[in-house]
Amino acid sequence: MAVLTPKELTEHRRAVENIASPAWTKGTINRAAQAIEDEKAAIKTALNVAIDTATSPVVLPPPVKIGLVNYALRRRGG
Amino acid sequence: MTTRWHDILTGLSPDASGEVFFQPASILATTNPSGSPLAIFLDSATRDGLFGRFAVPKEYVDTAVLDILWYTAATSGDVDWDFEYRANGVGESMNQSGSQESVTVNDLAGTTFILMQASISLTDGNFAAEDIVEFTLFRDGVTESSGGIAASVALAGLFFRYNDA
Repeated sequence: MAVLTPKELTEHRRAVENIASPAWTKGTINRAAQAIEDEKAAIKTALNVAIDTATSPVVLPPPVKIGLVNYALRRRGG
Repeated sequence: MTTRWHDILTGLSPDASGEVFFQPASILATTNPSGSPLAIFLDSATRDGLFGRFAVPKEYVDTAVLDILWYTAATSGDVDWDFEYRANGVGESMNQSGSQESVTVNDLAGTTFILMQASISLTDGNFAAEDIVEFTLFRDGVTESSGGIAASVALAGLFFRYNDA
């Protein structure tokens, strides 16, 4: 896991500042962003295993798996 | 003796950070029909400034105060405003390094889009009637740290308040 830089933390905060009137401070979003970063590797591994298990014996190419995951995460309510 | 307010929200220029810029008021406060330009200080981790200049009024005597009027969509967190300036009269060099005074005020967000006022007392003796004051107003994203407002802050007004004779 990587420690997010101040610039990266700022980018995370700006990504959500217009969703609602921020009732939180910089530190709150910083901690949320770092938590996501910390869990990212484990989640990637878990999704990879889950997809391979579901499609076995077929193994989808990595770009297809990434595309599916990206679509699922960006889908409304995803 | 009367207290007077001198509007100094004119002739402003953002620094090169890209974190300060002007936009119509209606972009941040979306139900506000005003298209008048509003200085926006983005949420950042840096100290970002807005340059300006004004003339000290002829009636100036003392009790110099800077009033910063601002608002934000956020309802939590604080903003750190820094103000640096140098006042020069006729016969003084306009090519001096550094500022004459650097002052700071911390103000808290409240209700969303409510106009807030932060005030900073300035050193009276630094000013004389008809001086030219060159200043920079900063939002200090470094000192705001974790308690800072996680949103843009709009500068709605900037006044040089003083007492006349």
